[in-house]
Amino acid sequence: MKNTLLISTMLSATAALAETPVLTVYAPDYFASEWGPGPAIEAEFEKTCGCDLQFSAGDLLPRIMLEGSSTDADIVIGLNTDVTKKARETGLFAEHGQKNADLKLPIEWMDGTFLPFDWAYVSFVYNADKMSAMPTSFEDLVNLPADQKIVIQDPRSSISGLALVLWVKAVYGDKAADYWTRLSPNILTVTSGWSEAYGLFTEGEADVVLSFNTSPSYHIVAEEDETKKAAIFEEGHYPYFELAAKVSSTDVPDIADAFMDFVMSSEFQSIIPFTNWSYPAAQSSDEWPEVFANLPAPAKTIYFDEQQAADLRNSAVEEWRNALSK
Amino acid sequence: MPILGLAVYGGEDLNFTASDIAAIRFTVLQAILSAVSSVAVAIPTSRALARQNFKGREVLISILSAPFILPVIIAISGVLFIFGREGMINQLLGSLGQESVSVYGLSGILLVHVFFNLPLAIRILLFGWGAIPIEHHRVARGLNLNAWARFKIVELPMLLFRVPSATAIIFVICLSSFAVALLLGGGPRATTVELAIYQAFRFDFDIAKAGQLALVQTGFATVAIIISLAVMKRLDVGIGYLPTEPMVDSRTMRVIDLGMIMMVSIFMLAPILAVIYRGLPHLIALPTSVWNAAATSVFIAMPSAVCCIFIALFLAHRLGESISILALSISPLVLGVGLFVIIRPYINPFDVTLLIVVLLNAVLAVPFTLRLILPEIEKTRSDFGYLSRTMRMTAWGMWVWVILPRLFRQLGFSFGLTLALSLGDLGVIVLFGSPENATLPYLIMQLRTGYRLDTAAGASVLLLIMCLISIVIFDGLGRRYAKY
Amino acid sequence: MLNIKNLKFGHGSHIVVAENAAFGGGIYGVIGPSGSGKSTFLNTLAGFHNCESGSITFDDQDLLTQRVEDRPIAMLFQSSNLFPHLTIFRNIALAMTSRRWLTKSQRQHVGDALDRVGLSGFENRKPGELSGGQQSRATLARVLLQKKSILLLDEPFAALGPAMRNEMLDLVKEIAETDNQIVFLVTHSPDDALRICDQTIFVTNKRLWLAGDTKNALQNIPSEMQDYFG
Repeated sequence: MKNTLLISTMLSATAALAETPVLTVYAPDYFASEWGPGPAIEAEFEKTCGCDLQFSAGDLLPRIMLEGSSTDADIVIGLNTDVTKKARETGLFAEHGQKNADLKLPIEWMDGTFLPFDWAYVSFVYNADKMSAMPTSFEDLVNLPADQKIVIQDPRSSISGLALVLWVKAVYGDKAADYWTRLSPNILTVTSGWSEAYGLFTEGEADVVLSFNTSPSYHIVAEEDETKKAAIFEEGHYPYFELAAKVSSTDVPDIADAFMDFVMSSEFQSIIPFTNWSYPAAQSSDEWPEVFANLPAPAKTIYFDEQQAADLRNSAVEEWRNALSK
Repeated sequence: MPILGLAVYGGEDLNFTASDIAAIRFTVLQAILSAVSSVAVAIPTSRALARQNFKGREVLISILSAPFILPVIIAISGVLFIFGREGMINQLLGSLGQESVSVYGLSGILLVHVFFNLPLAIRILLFGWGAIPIEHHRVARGLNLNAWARFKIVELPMLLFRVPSATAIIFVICLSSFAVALLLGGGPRATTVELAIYQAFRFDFDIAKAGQLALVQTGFATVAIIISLAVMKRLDVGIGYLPTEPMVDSRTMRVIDLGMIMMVSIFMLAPILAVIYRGLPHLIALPTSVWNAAATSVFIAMPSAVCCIFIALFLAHRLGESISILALSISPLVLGVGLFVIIRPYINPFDVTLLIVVLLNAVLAVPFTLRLILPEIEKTRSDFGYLSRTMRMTAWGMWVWVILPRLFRQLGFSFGLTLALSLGDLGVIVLFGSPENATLPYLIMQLRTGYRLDTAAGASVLLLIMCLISIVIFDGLGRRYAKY
Repeated sequence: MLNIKNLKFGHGSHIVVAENAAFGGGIYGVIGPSGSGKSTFLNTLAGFHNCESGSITFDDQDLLTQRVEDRPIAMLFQSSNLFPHLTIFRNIALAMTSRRWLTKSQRQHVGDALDRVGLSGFENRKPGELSGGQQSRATLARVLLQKKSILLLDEPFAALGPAMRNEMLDLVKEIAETDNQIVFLVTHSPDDALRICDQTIFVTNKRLWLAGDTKNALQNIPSEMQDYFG
């Protein structure tokens, strides 16, 4: 008696499992990791979707492009605007179906395919204990004392590096190449990715690092360390948006749509700050946790849309490379 | 094979920009300099180690393998601790009122490359010194030859035999160096082909270009291998062992030798100690996921090591070795993508992730295994070939009963090395890994990209300890079961 | 005259005590089981091993204070006596100089040595091109040029066939007699000893002693050596 009961329970359980649809989300490593937003988002979404959310981590854009329409992905999370043009051209992504007006961003969001879920300002982060004066402009960076060094990322291998190059281009226009030449002596080195650069900064090798204005929030919250601060430049800052998109060829369109709705929901948005250390895109600043609201933020936003970014990219990177190779 | 897959997928036009050419030139330059420097330092060091028999020599040699197996970024962190701007050396110099030295630039790249590759060079050459028949040394002494003549006649031939292949291997390794070169190179001047491939693939999605650049990389590697094969003389077929008798009885030489060993050891161990120092406080508080990742790493590494041995034995001849070294020169990115492209039509690569990782790790460790066992196999063949033919042993029998037992020492070390390499691998797993099956290095990377550098430091120490343990254990086992 | 007094050699747990003995000109066979210390004895005489205690003197000169190269000793090993990458000529010439270019008289000496061992014409060959017997002759030519008073032979002809070995042994005897050297020959073969050795030294792994005339010694084998001789 007991045995048959046990067996039938097991059978029905496995049957149920077999039927649960799977929502495959492609996301970057830091997102899907244990310390990123991934696990919390998975738990929250699975409460209501009746599905099994599975993350697949790795290089997003190349993978999608390699896989084409036979991709398993239903949702792709973690793209950013500087590369969306290429992504859009694949024709693989569908409308996100959300109301852009609900987004609380420093610029007006017009894109119907790619939906920002969090954002921050690209900015330099420095160690207040070590610097005598806080840099407040790009020119201040050039005028740093000789023993204070900056570390940046390579725009050819790092998305944050690319954002910096575009930022400088936006501020200096034709004079960008000249700026890089002037900044070059203060640059300690260039790393291939954000984490190496940030590591150099926290380990004391560099005094200033290219990162995001929200980076100090991690140190304040997790380490109770208030010495790391973001430099706010009067010229204005370049925003960095992280995007989510639905894949057209998804085999579970209803669930995918539900996920896109979920992205805009306050459950999702409130998970973001303390796991991804960025501003939530669909919440206004009075809904943010206090530490985020108190972070210094720029008054001015300068921005290239994806078309401008795509057009300028090669020449801007080439200028950068030339200036720094001298 | 995966490279061809990529190139075919891509297309035909060859359009390298100026920056690509610069990258190629720089890549080859730093690879050559790194290889030559590493070997140059390795020669006297391995000689000193071979000659002086002191207590704990074998353990020291095992430990000195550490830099080679660590993931690049961890080792860099350790190196910077010592040599960086705020590193110990500069702090020392500062307190003495001297100018600080900058490790950023070509010199920094060379420094770190030597740091990484010196263990390998020392290992290859170490067994070489032991392969010189002791009688040669004695004859030379008895004939009252001066020191230079002794070196030229007794030791140089062995070097001419082993140095080219050691240099070629290290050249090939440095050819695909990426993060090191960029970070320590100080900027885009120090761009390598690998970075260009990276950019072509990840940003531009220009697969054709990525494939072409990869071909260039492999092309250089092939040239290097051919040169080294040509230069190698067919003289040395000695057994590798560490001599226990002193080959010189001069006290000054002993002091010089020991001094050199100490200096090199400090150079190599200091950054390792720095890594430990930084991470030890955090070792206690490691979250469970780290331990899980460690277990996963072991779970992957063991079969990798076994596979490696099998593949190596299968490829155990000169041609096989050349092929395997070529594999080293392929950028892991290209390898991964190439495989991805080839496999995808048949199975979803991500289902067989673990299998691919195991195999790739095995393949990448094969050249080192071969370099260690080939001389031994050749010698055994020449020693026992006639005998086994008279006993009418089959080839299989010869392998099992004659050759294999004599390989135990080298196989032991190779197993440990492959294990350690696989434990510390980051390149392959990044391409095919997934957070659920994270290996330890992968987890460390996740921690670093998620701001958690302290935990990453702690996990790095764990990784280091695991790698060292595997090397020391298998080195020791190999020695114990060596049938000499 | 070579004298050994209170000599103990070997290392670790394997120490051999040698009876005091004096060796004059002539050929001494060194016989004993494998691992008993025959090679070690020779190596100690040559200076490649240190002895535990005792003294070794040659014509009243203390050998133990001399470096290997200064001792009046030439030694041949079981194998690898020749350098494979050098020609026979250069291998032999090493006994005089390590320079590449020799004076006329030096060349003459090398030529003479080669003649004496029957290898004229082989100057420019490499050891790998020579047969085992020819290689052995070459090593003997070098020994000739070294002109040392004491010659140590550690089974250098072990790999040769019986006929060739006998030829080599005879050559050794001829050289030793002409130059009146003291020769120690380690061998496993009583026949070899009988052939050319005037006297015999026995080595077990505890003792070494001069047993005197070879024929006598081999006819009256001491009890310790019974197992070995069978």
